[in-house]
Amino acid sequence: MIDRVLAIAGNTLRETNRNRVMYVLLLFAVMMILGSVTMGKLALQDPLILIKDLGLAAISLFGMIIAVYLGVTVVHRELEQKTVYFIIPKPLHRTEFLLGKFMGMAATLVIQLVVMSGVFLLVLMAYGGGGSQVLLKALLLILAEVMVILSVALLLSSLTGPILAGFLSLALFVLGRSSEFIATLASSGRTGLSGLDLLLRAANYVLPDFHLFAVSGAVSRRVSIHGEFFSWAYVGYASGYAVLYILIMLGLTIFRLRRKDLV
Amino acid sequence: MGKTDDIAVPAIRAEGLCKTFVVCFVPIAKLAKSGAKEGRPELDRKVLPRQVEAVRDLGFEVRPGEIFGLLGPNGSGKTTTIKMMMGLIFPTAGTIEVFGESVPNLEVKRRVGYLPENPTFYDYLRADEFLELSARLCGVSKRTRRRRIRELLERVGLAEALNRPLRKFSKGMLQRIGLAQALIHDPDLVVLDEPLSGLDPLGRKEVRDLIGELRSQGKTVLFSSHILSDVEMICDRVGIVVRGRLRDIGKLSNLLSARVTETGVVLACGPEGPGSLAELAAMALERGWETLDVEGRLRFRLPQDTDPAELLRAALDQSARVVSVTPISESLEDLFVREAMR
Repeated sequence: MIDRVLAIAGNTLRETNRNRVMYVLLLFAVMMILGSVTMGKLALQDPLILIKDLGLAAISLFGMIIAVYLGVTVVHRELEQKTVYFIIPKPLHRTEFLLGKFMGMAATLVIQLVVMSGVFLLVLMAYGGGGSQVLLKALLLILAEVMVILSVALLLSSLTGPILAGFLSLALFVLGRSSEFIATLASSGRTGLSGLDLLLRAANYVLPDFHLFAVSGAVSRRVSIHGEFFSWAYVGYASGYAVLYILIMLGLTIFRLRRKDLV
Repeated sequence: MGKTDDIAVPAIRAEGLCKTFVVCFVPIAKLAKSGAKEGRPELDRKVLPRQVEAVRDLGFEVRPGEIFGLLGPNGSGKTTTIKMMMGLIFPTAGTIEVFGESVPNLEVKRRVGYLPENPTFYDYLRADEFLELSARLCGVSKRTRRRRIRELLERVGLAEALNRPLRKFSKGMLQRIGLAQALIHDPDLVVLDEPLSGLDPLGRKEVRDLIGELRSQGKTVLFSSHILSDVEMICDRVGIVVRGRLRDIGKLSNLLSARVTETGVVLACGPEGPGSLAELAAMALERGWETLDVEGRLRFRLPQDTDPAELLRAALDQSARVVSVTPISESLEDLFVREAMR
C-alpha cells in the first residue's frame, strides 16, 4: 500500500514541478519578499521589523494561494481529463489514490515554502538579521496553515467545480483568520440576536481557525514573532489542531469520493 | 486464487446489471405536463430527478481464454458496462463478477489490464516514466520493470518514442501506449474499450495480431468495437448491446444466418454501349431491386425470393456482359443493423 501511495505522491509532485503556474506564483512571492526591503527603508522604526512582517506575510499569502490552486485543480483535473480511468482500475484503493495526491501536493507546498523561506532568510541576513528559533516557529505555523487550507480546498473541489471551490476556500480563509473577531462578537451579545450569537459560536467551532497560525505582528492571543511569549508549546498546540483538522477534511473527501461514479 | 481454480469459473459474469444516471432535476409540474407524473399544485415547487437508464438487466458470461466482442451502436451501454467492471462506476442493481469475485476488488484488479476509450494519460510524463508508474502501481518488481517496459514498447511499435513526452503523441500512439500499460503486469484478463479507434489500417492489423497473441498465451480478452470487420476476424463470441440490453450473444457462426439472404449481380455494358444498362436499371426500379452504378457497372441486390434468371435473361437480351452472380449470406453488419433497428 505504501509503495502505491508513494507512487501517486511522486507522480503528483512531478506534475506540479512541471506546471509553469507554480513557477509564476513562486516568482511573485519572491518579488514581494524582495519588495519588503524597499518598504523597510521607508519605515520610521527598525526596518527589520517591517521586513520580517512583510516577508512572513508574503510567504503566508502565496503559500495560501498555491495551496488553494493545488487543492482545487489537481484532483479535479484527474476527473476532468479522465486520467482517473487509467489510475482507478489499477490495483489500488480510491483512498490510496487520494492520500497519494494529498501527499504529493503537500510535498510541493513544502518545497515552495522552503524556497520562499530561503529567499526571506537571505534578505534578512543582508540587513544584519538572520534565522532564529522564533522565525522557524513562525514558518512552521505557516506550513501548518497552508496544509489546512490545502485539505479544505481538496474537500471543496470534491463537492463543486474548481472556480467555486477556489472562491469558497478563500472565503473560508478570510473567515478563519477572523475567528478571534467572530468569537468576540458572539460573546459580547452586540448582535442583539441570541440565535445569531449561537450561529456565530457554532461557526467558530466548525470553521478552520486560521487566526491560530497568524503570528506576523499579531499580539491579540499574546502570540507574535516580536514577543518573547511565542513558545514551542504554542507551535505544538497549533500543529496538533492542524493535523486534526486535516484528518477530518481528508476523511470527508475520501467519504465523498469513495463511491462516486467517475463518469 | 490460483489459475487452475478458474477453469470452471467464468472470467466475467454479469447478472441483472442495471445502471441509471441522474442527469438533472426537473420540477414535478413540468413532468406532469409531459404526462410522466400526476401533477399536484402543492408539489409544484418540488423537483424530481430525471433519469437515464444506460444499462438494463444486462447479463452475460465471458469464458476464460476466449476473445469476446461487445458490440453496439453509440450510447448503447458498452462503455458503461465496462466501467462498472473496472470499478469506475457502480451498478444501480445486479452483480458483476470477475474471476468469481465481485468488483471492485484489489486481487481481481491485479489480474486485469484495461485500456479506456479515447485514452488520455498524464501528458507531462515521458513514455518510459508513464509505463514505470503503471508498473509500480501494478506491483511489478523493480528488477523486471525495465525489461518489461522495453519489451512492451518494442511490441507496440513505440521503441523510438521511449523518451518522448506523451503530449507529443498522436492519437494512434496514445492508443498503443495505452495497450502497453494495460499489459505491463501480464494480466489474465485484458479489457479493451474501442482499441482499434484512431488507428490506421496497419495499426489495426498490429492490434489484431496482438490480441491474437494474447489468445495464444491463454489470456481472456474482452473488447468493444465499432469496426465490425475486425470483430468478425478475431472474436470467438460476441454480445450485441442495444439501448442498454443484451440483444444477442454467441458464436458468430451461430448468430449469423447461413442461408442466402440476397443475390448480388454485377453487369457491365456490352458492345451496344451504355444504353443497354439504362434499360436494365429501369427494369430494376420497376421491380424495386436495389441498384448501384459503379464505374460503368451496375450492381444489383436481388431479394432472397427473387430468381436472378429473369435479370440474367434480360441482360443477355440487351447484350450486357454478366460480370458476376454471387449469393450473399448475412454479415455481422447486417446482424448489427437488424438488432439495432429492432
